[in-house]
Amino acid sequence: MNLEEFYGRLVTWPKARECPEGTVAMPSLLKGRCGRCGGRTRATLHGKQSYCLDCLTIGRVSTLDKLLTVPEPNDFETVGTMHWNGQLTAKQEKISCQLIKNYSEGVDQLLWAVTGAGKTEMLFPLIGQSLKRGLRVGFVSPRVDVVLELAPRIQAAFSVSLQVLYGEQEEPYRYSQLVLGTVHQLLRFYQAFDLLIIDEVDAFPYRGNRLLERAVRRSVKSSGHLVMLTATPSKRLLDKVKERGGRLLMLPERFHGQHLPEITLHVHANWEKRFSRRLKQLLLGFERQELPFIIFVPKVRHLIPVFRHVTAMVPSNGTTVHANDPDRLKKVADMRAGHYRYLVSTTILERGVTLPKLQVVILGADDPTFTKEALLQMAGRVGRSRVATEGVVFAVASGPARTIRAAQKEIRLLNEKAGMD
Amino acid sequence: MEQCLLCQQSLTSELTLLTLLTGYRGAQEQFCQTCLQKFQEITGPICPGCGRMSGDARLCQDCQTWQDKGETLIENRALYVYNQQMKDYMARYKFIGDYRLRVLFKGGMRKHICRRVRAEKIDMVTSIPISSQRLQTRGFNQVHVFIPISKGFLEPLTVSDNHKVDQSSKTRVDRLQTTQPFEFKEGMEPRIRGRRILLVDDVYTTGRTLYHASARLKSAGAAAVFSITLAR
Repeated sequence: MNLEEFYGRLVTWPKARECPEGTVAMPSLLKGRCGRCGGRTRATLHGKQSYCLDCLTIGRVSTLDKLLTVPEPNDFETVGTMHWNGQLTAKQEKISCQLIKNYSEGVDQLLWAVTGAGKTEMLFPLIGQSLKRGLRVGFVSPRVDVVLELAPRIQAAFSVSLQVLYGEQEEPYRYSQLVLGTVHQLLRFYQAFDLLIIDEVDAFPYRGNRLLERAVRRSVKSSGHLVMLTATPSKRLLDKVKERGGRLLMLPERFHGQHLPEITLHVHANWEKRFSRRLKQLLLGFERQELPFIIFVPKVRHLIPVFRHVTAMVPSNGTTVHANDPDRLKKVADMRAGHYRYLVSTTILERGVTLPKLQVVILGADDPTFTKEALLQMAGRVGRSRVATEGVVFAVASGPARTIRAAQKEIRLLNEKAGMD
Repeated sequence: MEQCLLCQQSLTSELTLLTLLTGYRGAQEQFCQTCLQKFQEITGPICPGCGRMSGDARLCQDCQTWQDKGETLIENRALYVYNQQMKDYMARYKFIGDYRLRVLFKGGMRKHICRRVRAEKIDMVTSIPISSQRLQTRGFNQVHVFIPISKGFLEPLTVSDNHKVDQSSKTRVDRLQTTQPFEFKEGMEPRIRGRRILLVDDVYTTGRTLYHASARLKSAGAAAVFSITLAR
């Protein structure tokens, strides 16, 4: 095994095997906590041995193992460079400069920018500069869909050693200056990053997950800093950033300067059994104009009945997607390639899907699974490209729930704010 | 909230008085119905050689080949079909090493073994050994828990040092070409003579491992060797 693979990592290594020279060993169990994730739930093995249940999904850490690391030396063969030469708008430019300034001053920061504001692009100058200085950069998100959407964009913008990490992937780990991945993968890092960017910090499963929060803090070097991105921060997150002395940057305007699409509420309680005439006309309208659309439903069990309703009306191809769907990633890729006209999906696709001209229908928008943040994210799928800045966000609900009201209000507020400065 | 040990979905099981008083939860209560139903039990006519499901209860092609090579068939019996669900189970139980999953088939396998021991008048039950290195990293032998100790459990075999490669990491052809990996532990060889032995393993894939173990035992004078596996 190459020593490079231990740089800034935590590698599980059987105690019975001899450690490679130069590695530092850490205990797999310390004061009743797992040495990797800090969790305390354990299961026993044969004899007196035990293993951690909290991080079992990414591989077992048992008392038969120890954890090896090599302190991150930032020893890259070549230092990455940026060859992205896109243009930022004046407002984006301002935020981008602030990000660099704050980072050099050594504070953590939270960037609150509306969906479709061009968060990723605004970060490029900061990433580019850090790479040039030979720093190790991590870019993570709680959602694998977001990571996979990001990967090609990052790859196109930088020439740098890059590794994409997520659960189901088969490629073995290799050392790279830029690391893209899901937040869970940070459990395998130890004081590795000088700059760590977390996209969609408010998303499941990172949201309120102390295990992952701990992993994030530990994967950053003591001299490194965090940049968090979100379109829909919770109050708790805003408070926490303030409490820890972080800075908040805000951008209420989309990159093309147009307003966020507002949510149209259509009251119809019986959508599970049949579609109302207005909803039918809307879907047929999408079909006529050849617009792709996503129908969000609250529960997995709604997928099939709704899909049947739609297939009965719309002749084009479509399919269903949910979180445990083994073909989920492929279906989204197919949708992007134009093989499907529509998807019927659970909240899983609320983030990370960017398609030109996409329209959104939310069925059962008053269901408790759709939080205010979820509604904002789903609405944010619409009108993201320069060619189609407008679109329909059609929410079907049995009444104006508090969450829908709150989402509508926040969109109006953000749009007002964008108009002001 | 309790979760299914396989799919992590939350479980809605009825609280029994036993659970309430002792905290004990039966094996079936720790898994969800959806996961349990995906395991396919072997029922109906089977191949008498390897125990796989077959329409006509005749010897399958693979067993014919074993017979042509001059092996006496080990009359394997298996509880479940080695389908995708079983593969996923094995990956979690054996390769990730989630020892909690042992409870799922413990009862079923023990019952099956006891029944076979009675039917074939078996006086020794043994498992396919795993290498000491593997035992140290995994922390358990995956089939030991299936074996009722009272039925004359003895482990006379070990894996010799030059056979450290895992069967499951090889292709079918490679697996069949594996040479004898087992040898006797010190002082065990004389204890085999004249015994009727039942081998227990987790999966019967090509049969190579079981036939190797069987050949080793017979070379020490075992009267008869049978086998039981969890999956075929």
